[in-house]
Amino acid sequence: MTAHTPRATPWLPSLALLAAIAVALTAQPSRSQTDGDGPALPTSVPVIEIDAPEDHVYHIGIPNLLGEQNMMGEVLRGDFQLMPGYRVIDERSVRHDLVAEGLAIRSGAWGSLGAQGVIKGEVRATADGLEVELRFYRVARAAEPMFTRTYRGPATRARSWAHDFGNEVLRILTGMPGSFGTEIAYARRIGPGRKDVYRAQMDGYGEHRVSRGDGIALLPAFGNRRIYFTRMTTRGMFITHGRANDARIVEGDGINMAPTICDGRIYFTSSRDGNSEIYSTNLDGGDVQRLTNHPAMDLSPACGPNNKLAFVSSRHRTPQIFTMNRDGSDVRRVTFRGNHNQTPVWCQDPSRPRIAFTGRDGNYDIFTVNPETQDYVRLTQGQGDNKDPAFSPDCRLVAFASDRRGAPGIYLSSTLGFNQNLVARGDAETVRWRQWDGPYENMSVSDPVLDVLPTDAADAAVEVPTGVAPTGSAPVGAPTTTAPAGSAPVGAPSATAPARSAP
Amino acid sequence: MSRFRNASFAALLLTLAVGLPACRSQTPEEEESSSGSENDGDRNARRDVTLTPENGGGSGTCSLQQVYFGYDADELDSASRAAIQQAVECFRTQGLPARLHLTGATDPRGTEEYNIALGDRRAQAVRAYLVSLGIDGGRIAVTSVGEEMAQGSDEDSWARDRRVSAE
Repeated sequence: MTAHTPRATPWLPSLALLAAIAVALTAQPSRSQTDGDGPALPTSVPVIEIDAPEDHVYHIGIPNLLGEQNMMGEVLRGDFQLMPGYRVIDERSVRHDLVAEGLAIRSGAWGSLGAQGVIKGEVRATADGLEVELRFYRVARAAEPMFTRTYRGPATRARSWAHDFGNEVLRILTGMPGSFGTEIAYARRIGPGRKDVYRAQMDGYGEHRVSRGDGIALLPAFGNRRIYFTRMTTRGMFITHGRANDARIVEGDGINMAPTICDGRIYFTSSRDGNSEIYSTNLDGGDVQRLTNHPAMDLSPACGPNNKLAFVSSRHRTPQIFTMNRDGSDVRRVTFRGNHNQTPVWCQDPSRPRIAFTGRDGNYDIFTVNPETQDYVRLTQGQGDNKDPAFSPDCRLVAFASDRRGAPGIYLSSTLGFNQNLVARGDAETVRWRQWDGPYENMSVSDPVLDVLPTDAADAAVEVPTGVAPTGSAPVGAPTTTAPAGSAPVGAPSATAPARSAP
Repeated sequence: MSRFRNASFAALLLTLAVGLPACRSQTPEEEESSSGSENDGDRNARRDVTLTPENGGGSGTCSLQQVYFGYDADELDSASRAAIQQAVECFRTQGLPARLHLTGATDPRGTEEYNIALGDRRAQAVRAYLVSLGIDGGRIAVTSVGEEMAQGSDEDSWARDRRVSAE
C-alpha cells in the first residue's frame, strides 16, 4: 500500500477562495432599510468554516459494520454527513480488505485515505436480538480503540445505538456529545384549513403525526415529555398536547398560542386581556401569570439559559427581539439591526450566548446574534423564505423551514449557514428541536434523549437500554465496558434491522 | 361534523366591504381614501375554507362582514370606520346579535406566529372601535387565523387576505 496525499485536502483552499469571490461579487446593500431602525442585517453569509475540531475538516472512516448489510453504518454516515466540519470516508474509497481487517484498523491503509478517525463495528445475532460492538479508533494511535461500546437488545434499537455511538465519538473528539437521534417537531400544511403537527428524528427518520388529523394544529413545543401545540378552531384558539385528545389546557378569549416549556411551566402568547402579551402557567393550565404589559404586540416567548426568556415586541414600532427574566423583569432589547425580527430561539448552553431568529431583508432569512456582544451572523440568503430557526441541543446545528424553489422543507445547517441538508421535505414549517433535559453541564445522551425515540407501542414495549453512557466527561482513551444487557425476549433475531426510509 | 359553514350562510349577511389600501403602507396614521366597494362575490365563494364561528350571531339581518388593512398595519382607515359605523346603525335598528365573533387575518407573508398576533390586533382594533360606538364589548369575541386562510399570491389578492370578518 503506497502512501497517498489525502484526497480531499488539496482542493479545499481553492474552494474557499471561489466561495469568497462569489460572495464578494454578489454582495449588495440591504433592500429593505425603510424605517431607520438602525443598521441593516448582515447582507452576506460567512465564508470560512471554523466550527470544526482543530479548526479543520475531520475525516472519519465509517465502513459498514461486519455482520450486517449497511443499516447502522448508513445511520452513522448520515449523522456525520449532517455535522459541519466532518467528511465521511465510506467503503467506496477503501482499497484494503475490510473483512480481513476485522474489528481492528490498519492505520497505514486508513491514513492513506486521509482518515483521522475510523468507526468499526460488528453485529452478532443473539437469542433475544442483537449484540453490536462499536469501536472508535484514532488513526494516529491505531493499536487499540480509543472507545468501545457494546449494545445488546432487540434489533429495533439498532438505529438508536448507532446515534448513541456517534454522539459519544463527538464527545471524545470535542468534549461535548452530539445530538444525533434527537427529535424535531414541526407543522405540515395539508390543505386550506388543514395543518398537522409532526415529529421525527433530526435526520428526518420516523416522521409521524402528533395532532389528531383534523382542523388546524400548529406551533409545537417539546416539554414535559410531550409535544404541546396550538389548536385553531371555530370555538377559539387553545393549547393542548399530543396525548390530551384536544383537551384545552390553556384557553381564553382571543389568541392563545405558541407555547414554550421551561422548568415545568408553559410560556405562551395570549390576547385574553385585549392585547397580545406573554403569560406563563402551570403544565395543567393553572396559576396563570402575566409577564408583559405593553400596548404594543408582545409574542413568541422562547426559553433561554439562566432563567431567561427571549420574545418579540413591537414596542419600538417594528418587531424586534427582546429578553427578560421569567417573571417579566429586566426587559432588554437584543436586536438593533433590521426592521422585522421574529421567532427567537436560544442556544441552551449558558457558555455560548446566541439567539437565532427570522429577519426580514426583502425575503425572510435566518440570522443569529450574540445578545452580549451584538455579533450577527447570517445563515441563509437568496433562496426563498427561510424562517423559524431551532438550535440542536448541542448548538452545532440550526434547523429552519425553507420554501426554496424545488426543494422546500426543513433544513439543517451549521451555525454559519454551511452544509444545508434537507431532512423533511414538503410544506413544513415552525420547526422545534427537543433539548436535553436537566442542566446543560450534566447532559447525558443515552438516557434522556433516546428513551422517547420509539415511535410505536411495539418498539416501546421491548425497549432495553443497554448502552450506559458515562455522564459528564468520558475518560478519553479508556475503553468503556458496557453494562450487561437486560433480557427481554423479542422476535426472531435478525442482523438486518428495518431499512432507512426517510419520508 | 363539518367545521365550516357553507357559502349560503355568508350570503345572508349584509356585507360591508370597504376599499383596499392601494399601497403597502406601514405608516400608522396614513388615511387611505376609499377606492370604492369591492366586488366580494369571489370572496364569498371561498368561504368553505374559512374558519367561522359555529354559533355566530347570524340571525339578524345586519352584520359587519369584512374590514381590510394595509400591509403589516392594524389601524382602521376612514373607510373601515365608516363601514363599522354603518353596521352599528344597523344593529341599533335591527338588534345586536347575542354574540359577535371577530376574526382577524393576514396575508401569507411573514412568520406564522407574528401573523396570528397581527390578525388578533386587527380584530382587537375593530372591537375597540365597536365599543367606542357603544357596543357592549362583553358580547364581542375576538380570534385570529393569522395567515392560515390566506390565498393571495400578488398585491391585489394579498390585500383581500388582510381583513377582519365578523359574524
